[in-house]
Amino acid sequence: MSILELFRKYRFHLLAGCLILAALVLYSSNLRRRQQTSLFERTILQITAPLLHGFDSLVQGTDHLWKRYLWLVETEQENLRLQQENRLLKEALAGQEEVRLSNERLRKLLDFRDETGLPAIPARIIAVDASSWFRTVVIDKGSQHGLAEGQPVVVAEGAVGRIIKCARHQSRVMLVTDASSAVAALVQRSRARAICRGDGDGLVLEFAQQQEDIEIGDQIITSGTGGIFPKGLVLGRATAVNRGTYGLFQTVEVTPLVDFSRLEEVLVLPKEEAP
Amino acid sequence: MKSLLGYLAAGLGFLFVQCAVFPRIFSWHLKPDLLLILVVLTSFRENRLRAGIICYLLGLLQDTFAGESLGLYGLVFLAISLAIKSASGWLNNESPPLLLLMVACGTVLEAAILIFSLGFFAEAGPSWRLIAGSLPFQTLLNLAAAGLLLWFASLLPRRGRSGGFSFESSL
Repeated sequence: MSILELFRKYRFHLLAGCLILAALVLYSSNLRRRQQTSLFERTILQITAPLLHGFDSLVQGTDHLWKRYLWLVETEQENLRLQQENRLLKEALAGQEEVRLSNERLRKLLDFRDETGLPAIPARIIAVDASSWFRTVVIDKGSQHGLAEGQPVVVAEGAVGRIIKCARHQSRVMLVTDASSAVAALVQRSRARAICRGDGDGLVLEFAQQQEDIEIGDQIITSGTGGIFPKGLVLGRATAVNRGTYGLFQTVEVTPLVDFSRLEEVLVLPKEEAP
Repeated sequence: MKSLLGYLAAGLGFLFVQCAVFPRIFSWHLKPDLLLILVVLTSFRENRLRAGIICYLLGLLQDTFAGESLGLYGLVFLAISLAIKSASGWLNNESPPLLLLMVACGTVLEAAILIFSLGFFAEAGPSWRLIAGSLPFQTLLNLAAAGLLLWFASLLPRRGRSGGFSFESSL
């Protein structure tokens, strides 16, 4: 059998092998540039931006219309209940002035922007990852608003993720709970250092040395050494500590304080320009 | 060219449903993979080379809205398409339930290639646990979606085999 005949006989297998190899090479080369948004991705994100923005506005508008004007079945009862509540609140209000002032001061203290001292760009989540295996979301701000790949995304409760792809009008954010995400972390009480990895639904603290003092309930924060997140953002609380019998490290399960399934608005922290 | 654009437009439409519509109905993290169903259909309808190219492009579209790196789903969908093409010679392509079987096999193959690629090339941590853990439910969801699409297609007025797009005629 000549080489040509062999080639003819197995041409599908050869073609399949070549295609798979080419796809593998392309994927592998893209892995090296994962912090950049390719022209293809930018174009597709650009094309779909009006659709996603429009759908988000439509859903919000419909929800508003339904709740305000159409779904009025329980409005009368609700109205009576609110009038009663209003009377009680008016009575209570007189004695609450001091509490209000105190509350205001505390709120100022807790205000996230003041606390971090960093500029923040608010954004809305308009879509989520197309597959069930990854944890990414699409936000409605892009390079036009000053966003870029690698910028951290947060909410008042703590770290949310980082921007991995950025088009003109929208960006994709990888959540800290994605299995590919790893954040340099610190145990707030004992200052033990470790790496906080996503595991889909929660977080796992890895590479914390056996002798480090970590207890259930400890708050885990970003250490600021990973180059993405500023120091001190809350990642979650330790809910289980597994020291094991052997090995150098202990593994700690961390429950995020951010409720990722209810995320709607986020803040992007643009990196300060180098002088 | 026209049909290629048609497939890509269908892919974009399915992506929009997956990213923006499903999360408002189901949980954020579990949704049927409509693009996989489209890949299975494309593999039945088109010849090997066309199916491979279309499925690779559909994978790139999915990559724009899933995961971190461009090319991962391209590789996955291309491999699924080639596997279906090589298996279709031994199967009865006239049977509509074959689509369901292929969707189930495609979901398992997708998970296997994802675990392999993420584990060996991207060092993506415990991705395999997440993928393996949700695989049974994902397979059921994909089967349900494919079944619904088949049922919906059966309600549409049938056109000739050479004419419009029909799930059953494609099989």
